[in-house]
Amino acid sequence: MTGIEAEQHVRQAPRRRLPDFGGRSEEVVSRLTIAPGQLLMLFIVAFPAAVAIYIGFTEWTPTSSDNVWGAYHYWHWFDGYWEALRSGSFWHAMWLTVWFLAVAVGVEFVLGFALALLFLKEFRGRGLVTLFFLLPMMVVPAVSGFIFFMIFQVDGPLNQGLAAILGHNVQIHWLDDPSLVMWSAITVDIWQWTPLMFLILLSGLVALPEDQLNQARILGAGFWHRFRYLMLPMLKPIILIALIIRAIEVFKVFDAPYLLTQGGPGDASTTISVWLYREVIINTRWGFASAAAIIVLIIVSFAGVFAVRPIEQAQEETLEELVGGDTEGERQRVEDAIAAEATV
Amino acid sequence: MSKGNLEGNDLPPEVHDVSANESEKRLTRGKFIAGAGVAGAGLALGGVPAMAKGWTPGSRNKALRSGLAPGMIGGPVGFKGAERYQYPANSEEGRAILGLKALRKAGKAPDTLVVQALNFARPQFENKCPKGATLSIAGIFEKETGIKLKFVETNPASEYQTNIRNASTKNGSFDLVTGAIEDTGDYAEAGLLRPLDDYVAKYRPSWNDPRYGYLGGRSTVQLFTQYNGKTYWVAFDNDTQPFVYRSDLFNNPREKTAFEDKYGQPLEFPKTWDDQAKVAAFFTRPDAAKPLYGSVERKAPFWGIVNWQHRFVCSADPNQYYFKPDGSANVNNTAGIRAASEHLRSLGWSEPGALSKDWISQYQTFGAGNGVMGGTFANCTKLVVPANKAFDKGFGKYLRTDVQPGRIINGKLVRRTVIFYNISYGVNAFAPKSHHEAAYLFLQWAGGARMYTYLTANPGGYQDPHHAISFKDPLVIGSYGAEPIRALTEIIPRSAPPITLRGAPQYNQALDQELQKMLTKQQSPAKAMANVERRWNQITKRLGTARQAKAIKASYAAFPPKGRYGPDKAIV
Repeated sequence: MTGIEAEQHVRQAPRRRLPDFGGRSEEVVSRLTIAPGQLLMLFIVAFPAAVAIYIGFTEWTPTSSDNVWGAYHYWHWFDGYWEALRSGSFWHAMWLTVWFLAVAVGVEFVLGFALALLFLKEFRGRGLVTLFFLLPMMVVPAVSGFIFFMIFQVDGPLNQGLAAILGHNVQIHWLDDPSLVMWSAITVDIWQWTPLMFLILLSGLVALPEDQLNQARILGAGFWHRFRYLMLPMLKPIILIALIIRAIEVFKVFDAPYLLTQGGPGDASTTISVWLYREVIINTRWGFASAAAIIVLIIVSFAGVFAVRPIEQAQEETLEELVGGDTEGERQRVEDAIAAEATV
Repeated sequence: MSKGNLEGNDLPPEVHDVSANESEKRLTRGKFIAGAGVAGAGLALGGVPAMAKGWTPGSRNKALRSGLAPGMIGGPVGFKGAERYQYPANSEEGRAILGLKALRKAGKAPDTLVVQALNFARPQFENKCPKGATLSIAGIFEKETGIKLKFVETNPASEYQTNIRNASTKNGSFDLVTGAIEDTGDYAEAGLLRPLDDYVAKYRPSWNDPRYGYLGGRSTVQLFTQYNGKTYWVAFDNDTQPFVYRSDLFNNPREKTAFEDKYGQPLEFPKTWDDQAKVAAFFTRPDAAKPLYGSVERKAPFWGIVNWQHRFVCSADPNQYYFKPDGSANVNNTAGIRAASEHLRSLGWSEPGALSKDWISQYQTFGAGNGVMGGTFANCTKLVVPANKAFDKGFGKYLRTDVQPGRIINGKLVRRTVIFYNISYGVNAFAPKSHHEAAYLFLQWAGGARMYTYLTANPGGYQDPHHAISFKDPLVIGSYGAEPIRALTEIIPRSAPPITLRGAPQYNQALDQELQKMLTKQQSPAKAMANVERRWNQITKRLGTARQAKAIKASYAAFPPKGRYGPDKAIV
């Protein structure tokens, strides 16, 4: 078949008819076809959320001898919420979590960015060394927690190493000293998750437009100027995404504080996840824990909204910086160009 | 229980009390006939004529052929001394097996019983022991009843969470529940455990029998099996906490002289906590070539509270209890604050990092010769032995066991030990009702004096003996050592309960957290006890003061009774 014949064949081919769905409209059919997926999502997300909200209004526990559907026997409206809001231990756990988050994410960002900048340049064995740096991220958190539990023992390798360096016996109570234990848990998090920050930022740096950076270099801009006025603004959305991802993850931190000290000594490393775990698993106060978890969810949701706003803002700013002005025409032109490039 | 129902009262001693030497004697025709005749009489006296039908001349020959001693209807065979673990029809095991056979015949027992078991408890059911044994305990059970055992594993770290989930979902996929006695209140109130009193009345286990029953008698039975006046568990463990010490140090003439010069009293195993403090301080030598730590009790989160409890429960005669009869906390007082202060002081005699070390580290500290004494688990001296290089570095042979120190109360020495965990099994109330009786009967059989002695003689698991007769058994003595076994016979009757009320994990966690804060200098002992009192009262109020108070009063029966003092002498 020649090309022309083939073209004619295609033109002459009858238009394929959609199957007949028993006279139902396409809209109905499409809704029916996506319904199983949506029902599954409903079950996965909405059902547990509804149960949590329901038992959050009760003082039900599994030891109440009623099952969860009978939780309404223990209905107490907002008492659980009120108790959580007045609970010193709840706010203490929230404070520790925020503190953990600020320090861990801050240090992970600085280290991850520094490493990403170091790895931006080609050097022999870069792939292998990159892989090596990514290894901690692949360790199961329970395993890393246990490894550091051993390392932080008073007679463990960390103190032994310090003793070898300092030339005298070192007995730092990394896990028993309430003023040190959070730092120990944060160290585990930094060790494990700096590689993720490094990976995200490295991929952002690699994706930066080389021509602009080269032009700046040719025009005599030093590294600091290129970093401050080109790389950083262009990376801003990536940085924010990396920070938000890590912040969300760190807010849920459980493994390190729990495996190192079970949230102790006392409640010195009880993050909000450990606190909730205790309320659910040890205290079996499922109703109360649900109420507290919903409070946490509301707080985090608000924080999330405020955290996402700078990303949108950063995108706007990047766009403006790229077009070098803010006239509507130029803006439209750049957006069209980006859209065209995306289509290609 | 009438005397006639006591184990062995209707049978001559030679049927039950088969020592190692006697078991090796060959059967004679005269003994066989006498044994069979007595067994027949026992069946009649025991009021189980229907079951006695099973014992006919034909079955006698069958019993002989199967390796069973005369008068015995079941048990392990194939090794020297197996007769010690075999049982007649009128014994707790016999009644259980005959009951099961009757249930099977009536179609009221399942083909398979699903047993939830701790990972390290399972081998004692499934492994054959000793050499020559033809079947494991599970194998014997299947052979005698036709019922298979299927084990579903759990472990101590997740057992509570698993079972709370099982209770909330009314999971009836397994017949037997395992748990710690601290969980009893929660499991019972959640409806997971079926009360067993009707079966206990019907099949009469020998738990209170002075010869075959639980050491310590009624109080131990209450402690091991009951909550709020009802029976929920059959005990399969003995986690009473002995006090282990280095005998070579206590017997060293140089140390004896030095101690006497310093304190004006002889160096001996401390029978009071005051003396324990002196000995611990004396032996604490962190800068020695081989550092020594005087008091290596566990102090880490979760593990540490038992050491406060030991110092607390012996503060009154016969016992100091954690709660007042009205349900309010009874810890913010002299007894509680003193116990907390002593617990804090003992940290100064502990090995570095004691606040994050568990029982494994403790065993290693003892095995390496760095620990002088401390409360621990019953299997410490079973595991810290030359054959076990992971724990023992040459000092296991010096370890000896005794009852925890105590206090002089009104001129009487009150020494108490606290139980910690204790593997127990109960019937899952959510399992099919038709399985309940068979499930209980399995427990009565495997937890009976003879079969359970046989089970604990198997070194493959962590379920420890608690029946009086087990402590005379050569295989058990061989497994644990003669000295610790002697000590356990003194320890078990002096065992005080932990908190077994509904919400026990909450009470324990509150206590644990406040003690940890105290141990890490975040608060004083007085403040710690005030906080414990406040938090316990909150928990009690939330769970229902009247309901908790009722269970508290019932739990008094689980304490050692008045008059159970001493021992005044060290057990060695």
